[in-house]
Amino acid sequence: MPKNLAVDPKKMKETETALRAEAGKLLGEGAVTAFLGHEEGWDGLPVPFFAATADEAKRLVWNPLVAFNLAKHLLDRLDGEGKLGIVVNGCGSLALNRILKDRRFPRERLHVVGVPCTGVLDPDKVLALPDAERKEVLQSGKVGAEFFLKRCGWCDAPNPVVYDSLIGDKVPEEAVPPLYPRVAELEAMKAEERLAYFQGLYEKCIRCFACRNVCPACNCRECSLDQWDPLWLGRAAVPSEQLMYHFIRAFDVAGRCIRCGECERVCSVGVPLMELNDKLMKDITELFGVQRPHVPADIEPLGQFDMGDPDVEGSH
Amino acid sequence: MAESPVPKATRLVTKAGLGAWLAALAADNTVMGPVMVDGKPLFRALAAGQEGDVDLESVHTVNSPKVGVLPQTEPMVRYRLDKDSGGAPTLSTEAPDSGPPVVVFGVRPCDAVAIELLDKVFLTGDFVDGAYKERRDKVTVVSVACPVPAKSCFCDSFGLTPGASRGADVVLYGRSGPGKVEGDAYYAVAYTDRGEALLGSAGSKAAGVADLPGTEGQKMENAISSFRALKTPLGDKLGRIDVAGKLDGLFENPYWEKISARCVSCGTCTFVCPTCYCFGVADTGAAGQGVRFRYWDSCKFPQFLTMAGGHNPRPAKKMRSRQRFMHKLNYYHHRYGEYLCVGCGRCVESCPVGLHLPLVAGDVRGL
Amino acid sequence: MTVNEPVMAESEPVAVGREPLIVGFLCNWCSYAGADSAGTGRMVQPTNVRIIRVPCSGRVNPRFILRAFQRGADGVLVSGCHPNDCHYSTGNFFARRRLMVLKRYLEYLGIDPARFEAHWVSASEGQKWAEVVRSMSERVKALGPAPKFGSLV
Repeated sequence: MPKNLAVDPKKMKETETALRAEAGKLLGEGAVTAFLGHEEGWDGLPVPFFAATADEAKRLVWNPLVAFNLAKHLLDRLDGEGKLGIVVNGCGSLALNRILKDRRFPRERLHVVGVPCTGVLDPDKVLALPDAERKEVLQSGKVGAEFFLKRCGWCDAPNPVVYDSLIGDKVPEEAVPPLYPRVAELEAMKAEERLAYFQGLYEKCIRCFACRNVCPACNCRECSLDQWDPLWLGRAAVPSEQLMYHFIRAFDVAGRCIRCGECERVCSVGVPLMELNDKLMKDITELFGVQRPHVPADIEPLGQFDMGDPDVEGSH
Repeated sequence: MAESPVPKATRLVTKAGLGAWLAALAADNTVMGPVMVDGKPLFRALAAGQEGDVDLESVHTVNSPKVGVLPQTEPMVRYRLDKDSGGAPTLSTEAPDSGPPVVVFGVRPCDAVAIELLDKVFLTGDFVDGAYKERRDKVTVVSVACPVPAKSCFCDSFGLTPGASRGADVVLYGRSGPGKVEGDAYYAVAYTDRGEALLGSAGSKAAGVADLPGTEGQKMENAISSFRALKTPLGDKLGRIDVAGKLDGLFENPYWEKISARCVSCGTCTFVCPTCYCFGVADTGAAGQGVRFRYWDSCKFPQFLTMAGGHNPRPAKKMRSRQRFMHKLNYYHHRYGEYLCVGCGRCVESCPVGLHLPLVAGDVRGL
Repeated sequence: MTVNEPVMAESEPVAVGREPLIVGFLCNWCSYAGADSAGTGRMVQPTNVRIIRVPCSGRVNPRFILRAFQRGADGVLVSGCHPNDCHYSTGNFFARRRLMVLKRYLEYLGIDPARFEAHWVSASEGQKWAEVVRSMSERVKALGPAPKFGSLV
């Protein structure tokens, strides 16, 4: 885990003020037709919000709970000509770059406001605290490591990788060794145990598609798993089809996953989806010598090849 | 909504004896109940030997008990193409067996009411859904009065209480009244013939479901009244929700565009909701044989209403968000005279962007 | 029978009995032609492989292999042109990477990686094709039936 993981609510409040000012200015001048940020939703949960006027910009928030990746919501505004503003921290910018590198939204239509980040808390955990404790945490920022988002634990990109303007100073970056402990645990199991494990696990899945819908790498115009002809995914919510859904989707984002873990976080029944994504990321890194697989590149590992690639193991 | 239905039978069930009772019921029924799975309370069919793990402490399960009357995947007809002795093709079909009777156990009173709201859709009106009826006729609902309402509960906004008996065949009330279940037992009160039969069955007796001591009659009444007097913090704050009439004039209101912006178009709210019931029909199979089944669908999915030919009447998110809340708070009310929501709070807990019914109902009041 | 368990019995595997079913995805230009020449050459091969023709090994989407296993295949093989000889010049290079990742992924999911093989068979290599079919059928047969994903409904 990065050493300097911390939330500084006071600093975040200053950022919030600066953000509101900048977004307000952009909107007031007509430089953007809408600014995508967070606003305070139910019970203090920051939720995606398109501010459309300088006045609405005053509703933008920046606080320890801004976990939701905004980039995917840009796709709601594909139709339209106007420029959009968006605010991103480190992982938010990875999500944005995923959308941009997949050429799903034109960079020219964006004004990106970047915010260097030192950590964000898991809203579910914080909002579940008794009122007094919650208030204390949100005011002081003093909180145990387990309250941070899982992805903060392996973050090596705290500074936005794409931005037009920055609020706040860049923070020191730290190389974080790519470790996938859970994958190693599963790899150590016997094969039959593993299939049984996945079958038992994915039986919980209610096929709500929240994981797919929040994933920035899952950004197809029409998801092939929604198609009827060919019917890639049977509509029956039975373990056999649940396995197919998740196994296929994980491979479809293989090499493009930004390791944000939003899929896991929004899952209402608590399926540890990153077990699949991490495995693919680990293998791709090992097999093709990719340095930072979770940082979007112009061409991803599976979208390219090397003449010296190894042949499929065990084949001839 | 004051309620005081007359109990048909009363018994005492010890907390310690719950496992044995459920195991006895499992001999002739599929027993479904709340169990902790990897830290989350889920509602599901209990595996053999799991009866002792039923968790009645969590206020409600992440998923709802509607799976007991409307499975997420329900085979409707099985078909098979064979050849007869002369080599001519013959088609045979059969309706799959809907299985043994089901005891839907350990649900909250709001969830029991929700089942009744589903019954209105499937069992009344011009068309009675045969598959639903066949399954429903075999279901006995045993609810547990909520010891402590959760932060997200708002059943009283719809005139319900944590001690409601509507929709339940049997209600278990903690002997010591509301609050953490410190008492050693539950009063098991049957309100229907089905419930009476369950409590009086040989299996139940043998498993320790005992007659109520004569001296406890008043104590039981008091406990029941206390549960029915409980308020939920959120429901108390929201007050009674009565927006059906107002919504009549709000279809074209710009509110829907604004509030739906945050939605991610998943089906979480729909699938955890105890009163959502929309379904699609599909086929699966191999060459020469297959099954036609129905499966839960969500009006939030962009493709939900896509029709043959490709036309989609609800391509925009705002239309789909509007649809959900109009259905819950207006359309169903027009048809059946009450709201299609019981204030269970699952949408409040599960929606990743907090776009749920209390939010919208509150906002609509202010429009 | 509970409402959480599939009511329909497991869908019948397409191949019943002890002979394994192997689904093969063969590229049209090299491998399919190679398999064809094995046939016209009357080479002896077991009949366990069901061939699906694709334009190029690069067209093979990993979901095809997963679906084959889901629907009852005991083994799956993909065969394409030799690297540098792809009819579309680079298709098989992409396939090579993709299938390499898939092989390890299948093992992780609990499917014996020996059930999935990738080969390069050219149009003139009928002999090689027959050998691939023979050896793979033998290997998969020795492994027994593949683990089942479960009923489809």
